[in-house]
Amino acid sequence: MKKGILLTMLLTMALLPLSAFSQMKIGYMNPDSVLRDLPEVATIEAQVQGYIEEREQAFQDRYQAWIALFSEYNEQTQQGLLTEEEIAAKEQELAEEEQELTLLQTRIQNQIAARQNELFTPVLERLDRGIRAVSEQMGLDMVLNRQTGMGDPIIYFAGGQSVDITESVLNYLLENNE
Amino acid sequence: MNTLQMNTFRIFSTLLIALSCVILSVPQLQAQDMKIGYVDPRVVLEKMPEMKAVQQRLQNFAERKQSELSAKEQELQQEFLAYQERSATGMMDEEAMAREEERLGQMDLELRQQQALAQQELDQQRVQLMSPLLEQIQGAIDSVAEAKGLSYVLNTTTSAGDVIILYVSEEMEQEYNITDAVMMELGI
Repeated sequence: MKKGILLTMLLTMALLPLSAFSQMKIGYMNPDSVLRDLPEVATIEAQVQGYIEEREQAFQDRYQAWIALFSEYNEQTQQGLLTEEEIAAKEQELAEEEQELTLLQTRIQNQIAARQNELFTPVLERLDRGIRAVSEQMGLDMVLNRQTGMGDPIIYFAGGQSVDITESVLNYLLENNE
Repeated sequence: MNTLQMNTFRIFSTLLIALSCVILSVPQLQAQDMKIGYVDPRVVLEKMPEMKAVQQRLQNFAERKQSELSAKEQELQQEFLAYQERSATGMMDEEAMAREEERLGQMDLELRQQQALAQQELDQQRVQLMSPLLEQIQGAIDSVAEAKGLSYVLNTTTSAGDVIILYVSEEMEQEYNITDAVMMELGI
């Protein structure tokens, strides 16, 4: 009888640590690696590259026009074809056009950043949904990024019981193309 | 069972229970101890009233440096144009041209050095102005973490914009996102 009680008590106590499984479950992953392996990302990157080339061509055209203008002015002054006034006017024009070029360069950089942002936002949102779905399926409380965008490690070491969900997220996204 | 056996059994079983309590409670304690909270410091910084003043001061500093530098840049540009004009009209001999080019190159180098220095000064200024705010935040995080019995408090995002925490479950969010609590502790 007493032994029975003792046994029950011991068993209960042995089972108690199970309640400790309320402990946090933390996973980690490398989202950049998932992005690299998504076929749509290659398409987006090609689109961005095409846009960059197109915008750079626009800048080059304008820049070549400025160089032509400058050479013309140089030649004309060398040959003494221009009056003082004409020289001043030309110089003014050249300076203004040069300023325009600097502004254009900034504008192009902003346009490229905006286009990149616009094209990548949907895929980043999809990635986020994938991480959420996989984490919920696996009952994780938290998922950490393995490294920064520059490749600096955030997690240096993950032991045997830790969960890398990179593959699972990639597979989820490949299977659920919503 | 006689009395002696009974007593021995009691002592033995008490000891066993006590021992299992100790053994079993160790991993349990460790498990319960591992509580991880997190904070988004950008949200806290944005809400801090001192932040506006810091940003204003940094902007003023940057603008002042910028106007100093652009005056120098214009000066250099004018000198360069003047040189081009003179060399185009053939008024300078080879030696004079080489000297002038050397001088302009030196001016250009100095300008670049000053630009780099200005950027460094701006960074220093930022660190100097921000550090009291960051210290305040750290103090508030320490208090909240202690009150909640957390083992770790993580940052959600680096200042470069890299995400550290990619996902948190809803229950986790409610219990362990201490951003609001930190702001409350700071009285903002």
